[in-house]
Amino acid sequence: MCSDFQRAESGTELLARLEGRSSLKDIEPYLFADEDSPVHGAILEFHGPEGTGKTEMLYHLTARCILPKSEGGLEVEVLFIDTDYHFDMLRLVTVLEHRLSQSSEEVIKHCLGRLSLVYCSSSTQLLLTLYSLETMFCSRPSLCLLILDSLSAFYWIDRVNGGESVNLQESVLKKCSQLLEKLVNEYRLVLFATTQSIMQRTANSAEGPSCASNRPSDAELDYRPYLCKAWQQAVKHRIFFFKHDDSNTSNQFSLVSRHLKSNNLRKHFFIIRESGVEFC
Amino acid sequence: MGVLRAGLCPGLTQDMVQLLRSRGIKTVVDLVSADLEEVAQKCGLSYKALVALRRVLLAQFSAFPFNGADLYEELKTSTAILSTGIGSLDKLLDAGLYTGEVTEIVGGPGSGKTQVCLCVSAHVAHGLQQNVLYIDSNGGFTASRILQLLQARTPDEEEQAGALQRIQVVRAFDIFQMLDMIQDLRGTVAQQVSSSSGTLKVVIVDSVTAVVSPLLGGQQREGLALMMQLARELKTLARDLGVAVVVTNHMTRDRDTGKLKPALGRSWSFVPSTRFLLDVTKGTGASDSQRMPTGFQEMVDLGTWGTSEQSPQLQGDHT
Repeated sequence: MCSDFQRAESGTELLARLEGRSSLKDIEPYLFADEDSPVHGAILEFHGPEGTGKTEMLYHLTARCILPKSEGGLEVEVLFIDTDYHFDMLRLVTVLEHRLSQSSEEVIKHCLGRLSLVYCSSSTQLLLTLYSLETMFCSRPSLCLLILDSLSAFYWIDRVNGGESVNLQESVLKKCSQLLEKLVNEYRLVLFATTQSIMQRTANSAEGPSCASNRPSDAELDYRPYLCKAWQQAVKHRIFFFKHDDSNTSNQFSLVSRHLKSNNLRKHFFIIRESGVEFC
Repeated sequence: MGVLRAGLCPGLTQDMVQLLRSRGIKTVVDLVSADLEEVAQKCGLSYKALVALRRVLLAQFSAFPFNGADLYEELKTSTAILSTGIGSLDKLLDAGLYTGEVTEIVGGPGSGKTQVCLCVSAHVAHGLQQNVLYIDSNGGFTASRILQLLQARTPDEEEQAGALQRIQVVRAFDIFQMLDMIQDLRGTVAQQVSSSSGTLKVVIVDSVTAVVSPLLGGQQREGLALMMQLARELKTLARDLGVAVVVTNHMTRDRDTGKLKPALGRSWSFVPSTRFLLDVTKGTGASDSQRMPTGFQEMVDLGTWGTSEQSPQLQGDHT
């Protein structure tokens, strides 16, 4: 992998890298706990149980990016990698329709033309797909945002396929994490990846990888890191999603964003409307 | 996908495989992630050949990106919304069952899950004139009940017989049988030209808990992996064949709080796109969907299910 940094770049690669990907600085300031941290090259992890708004947030970010500048968008391209057939195109179209001042089929199709979708059916396929997408990042400098929903979809299947050795079980995901980190740094992308909370709070420690609770504040956030170390190290921001279960505010959600190096924490509330996520 | 062998892709000869293997490159992933200059030097193969081989392997085994606009066009033409035949349920589900998605019905024992499945089968077979595949894993399907529902819809015996023919019932009492069944289904659909009696539009799995819960529990990961494999098969089935998949699930008590919750745990909770809950005590259904706001409730009257007329007793109760 390090040898790749030493190989000579072709002219197009150089231009693509330096020409700069348009700034995603304003993509969604609420998600970044540390205002000074650079947006490009950032890897953010969305973590939370089912129904807490992670995928809605991804639609919100996608819409922000693919809408034209005249409608308040950033007019950049997005690559959405879907590992569990979760992506709902019709929902995204509804979000776009509500955000456009004049929505017509033409405009919607034009926006959707900036979105590329990839479906992966196994972690090995995910890894190979990331390798083959490298040419895409090279040749399209307007592609700035990479979304991966979700990284934990193959977790149980990988654990069984790897036999008894934990290293073998995690090896493909480890390679994926390292490759993602390399791609995001080299091509100055922003990566949003979701991981599902699939571990029980009080399960035995033999069930998952040993959870070192050296972060006492995480206990209240019900977070059990179960993915490989390589991924834990690659993530710069971790954002936890919660749903509020009171009957009168059944639509309220909140997120806690933590910048892992500086340990800054921010909490925000949001609701989900027809037009997508709306911060309160 | 996996191990390199001769003929896996054009240009990969047995000699190349042997040379690569002798240097520790045994799988596709090994080759794709290796430094090709180094490999060329160590194995004595030409760098150009290796680069070409890498490109071919990537083209063959990686997923191909789709453009959003094209995908939208395709979905617009292929997605259908199937009414369930129960008005208030349709309202909960945002007009009905969507093809290409997995919808889950959760409820305690006796709450009417099988009843809903039978009603949906009767409506799709008779009202929409499409085929239904009913995968029964707990013996709840009775032909006489379906006949009753059809008789309530139409007195014409020929129509009833026609509708009954469109419902195919298979029994699968463990997960391996169910996985085989899904494979077989793909095979038959691939070979068949659409028959005159309509195309398959709904696959009902009643219930998925019966085949999965014996595998869960304890320290075994194999059970969870099998469950996720079944989940993946169901989702790809829905997507590839353009059918609406309906699964039923039971309720179980939460270990810590003692409250009732859907069974099969957190990993399964991410699988269905829409999940609605049947609660027999209040007679309501509350839905949890990725499309609609959660917490919608509707009153459904058990007695009037299956009839095509609107009963004055049906009430709507939105939260």
